[in-house]
Amino acid sequence: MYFFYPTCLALLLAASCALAQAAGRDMQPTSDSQVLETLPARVRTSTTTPQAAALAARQAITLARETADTRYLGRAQASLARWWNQSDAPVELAVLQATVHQSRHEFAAARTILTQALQREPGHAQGWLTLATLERVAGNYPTAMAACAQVTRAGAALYGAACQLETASLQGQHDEARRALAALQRQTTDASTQAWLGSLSAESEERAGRDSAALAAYQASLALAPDGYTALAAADLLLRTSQAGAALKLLADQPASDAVLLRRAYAFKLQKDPQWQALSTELQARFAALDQRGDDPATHARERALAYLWLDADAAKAWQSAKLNLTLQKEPLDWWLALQSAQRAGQTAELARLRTEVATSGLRDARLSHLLSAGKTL
Amino acid sequence: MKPFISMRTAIQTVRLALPAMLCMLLNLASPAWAHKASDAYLQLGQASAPASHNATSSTTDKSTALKYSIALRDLDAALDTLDIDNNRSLEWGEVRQNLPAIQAWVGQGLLLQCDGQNAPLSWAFESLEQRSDGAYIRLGSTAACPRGDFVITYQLMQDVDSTHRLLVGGQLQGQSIAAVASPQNKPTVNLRAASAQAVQAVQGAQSVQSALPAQQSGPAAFMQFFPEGIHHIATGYDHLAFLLALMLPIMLRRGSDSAQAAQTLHHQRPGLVALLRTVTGFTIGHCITLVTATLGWITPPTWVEPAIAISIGVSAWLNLYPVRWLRQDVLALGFGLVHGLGFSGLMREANVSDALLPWALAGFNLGVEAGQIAGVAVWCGLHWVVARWQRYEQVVVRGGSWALLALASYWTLQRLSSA
Repeated sequence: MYFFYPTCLALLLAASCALAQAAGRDMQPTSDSQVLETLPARVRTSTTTPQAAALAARQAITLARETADTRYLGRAQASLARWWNQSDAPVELAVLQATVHQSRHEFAAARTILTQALQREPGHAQGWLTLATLERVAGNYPTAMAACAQVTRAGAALYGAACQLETASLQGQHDEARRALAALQRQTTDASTQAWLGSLSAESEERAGRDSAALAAYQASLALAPDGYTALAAADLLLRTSQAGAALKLLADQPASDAVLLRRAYAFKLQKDPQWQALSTELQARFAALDQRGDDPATHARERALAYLWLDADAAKAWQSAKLNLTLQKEPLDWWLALQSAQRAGQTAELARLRTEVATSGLRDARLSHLLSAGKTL
Repeated sequence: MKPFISMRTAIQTVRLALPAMLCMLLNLASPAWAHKASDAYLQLGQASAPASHNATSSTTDKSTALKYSIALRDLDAALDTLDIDNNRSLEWGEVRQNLPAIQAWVGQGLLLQCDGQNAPLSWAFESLEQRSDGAYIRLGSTAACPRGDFVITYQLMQDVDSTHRLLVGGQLQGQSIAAVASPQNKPTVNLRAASAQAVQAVQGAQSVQSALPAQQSGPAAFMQFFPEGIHHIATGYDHLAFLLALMLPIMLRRGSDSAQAAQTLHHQRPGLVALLRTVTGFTIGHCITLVTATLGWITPPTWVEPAIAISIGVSAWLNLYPVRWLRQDVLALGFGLVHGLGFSGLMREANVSDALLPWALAGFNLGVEAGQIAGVAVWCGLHWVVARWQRYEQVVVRGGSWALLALASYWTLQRLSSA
């Protein structure tokens, strides 16, 4: 009894501190040497030549990927400003503009820019590779396959082959993808390329329903070269197979993007650790900030749908966001999200329509099978 | 005696410092989370310079306070000189030395046009801020722009970050505003036009309101403000919480122990007297300041709201750790003065004409008293029922005081952070 009230008081105070922090809390530096902020390497944004602009944009895009801080995409755009949306921009810069769009989930803009640029210079391997990614994310596998072939034709044989294998694996050729991706890995000595091929292999194994092989492949890839995207995919596997502790460990070093924060919150919730609520509140604050900025809600619909499904257990809202997300991207996770939330929300007609759409797309993924069998409606 | 007192004060100081320490720990535990593109913030509000309470000039003389916050990471990209030693670690000394450059930079890119004229802003450093995506610096300026267009032009970061935005919020002469300026696409926002319709609606409502009292009789004004007073105390949880904190330790009735039953009447009288003295003290205190502030003889300082919250906390603390020489009724009188300043806010906003003010004030004040008496009566009834409980002292008095202390601490933090 003696400790009960002080403990309550401390908890309440901690909660109010957290609330006050979300908005912005004054801080008083105590000495001149107090470090206020750690800055990333300086990137020039005022550029005059296309070469300098391309270098600056590439640096900024890399920085955005490493830190998960989207402000650097704005800086990349600023360094490309002179050529941004110009139909006669050097193809290299147009491809970089498309990459900025793609990173911001503005897929339509990215596709338009790339298609125009590749008409002007059909031999641009990076351009075709980015276009193939866009088509694959949109679920257009034949178009993606054609773009992959162009990558090979443009001289980037390894990337072209990997691109084709990934697309084929999405359509169910898991065993072939596994063998061929392993062969490609042996062809190169570059660790980051090996890691990338390994992550493709891991995703393919996961779609084939071989979870332990997939996890091993993810871990091998991360050991070769750490990568945020691979870490997220591995964390999703761990969460799906009820290994919340391992997922948290894996995400511990990742910059806290919305996607990472969401998965941390879900992992804590699975562990019945009350920390999940504070993270969930933080995530809501971020969504509110994006709305305040006036960002297109569709570009963050995946995270919102997952938050509704995992954290709020609000299937109806999850379904609304998942449906919006599906207009933007159709990766296996997006189908899973739509099917799962439609099923939980009791949207029987929509569920049937989604099942037909998945079948038409040609996607083969073991993770969806229990949601696709029409016998189970709930 | 002396060493003992200073030691106890030292312990209390440590305990009181606990909230601040908790905030620090929490801050260390949560790293700066970057999540969205770059935003700067412009918060508008009423400048804290004392404003006249004269009904006709109070809406026109107020100047507007502008508070601009920008991320240090953004500032670094815009000002090459910020990281003086170029070690990519930004220290307070570097920011401090750069303050003139920062103020000049903001001054040339964040402009105000008032009613078609350029209104000069002079930016001065206010504070550093920790936000969810890193450290920010806040500069403040004031502007006198009582009427006409209120146009903000924002061109900062234009060459550095194409997706940078200025999120404008806060209040412009009582109107909530929310707008977004984009240096690239839409650098100019007219805040008065944005809220023009709302302003007109409110002005319309005000003119209706102020027209009514002019035709009103004194008793009608009394009857209009009496329910306002009741409503104010019934929904002013902080005043009720303070009353409760004062009343909690007063025993009107002893526990159920039958051996003490004979003494019940004996104890009852001092309890009741103590209650009456305390409530009367609070009433006298808030009457004094409510009347003087409404008549404009004194100006309520900005710290009134946090001080009201602190008064609850102090009263609750004294229930837990009593100080013998401090009389409950004197404390109630003293803090009553602060609460009265809080009550006066509504009366000052009502803009009642001078002729009707005494009537309105009387109505409001008696309404507050009526609400207060009702609150005290409810507490007495409750107390009568639960005071028999053997653990009353432990659970109701101590537990209640801890709960009030927690609530008061929360309110204090909340009000200090929004002040």
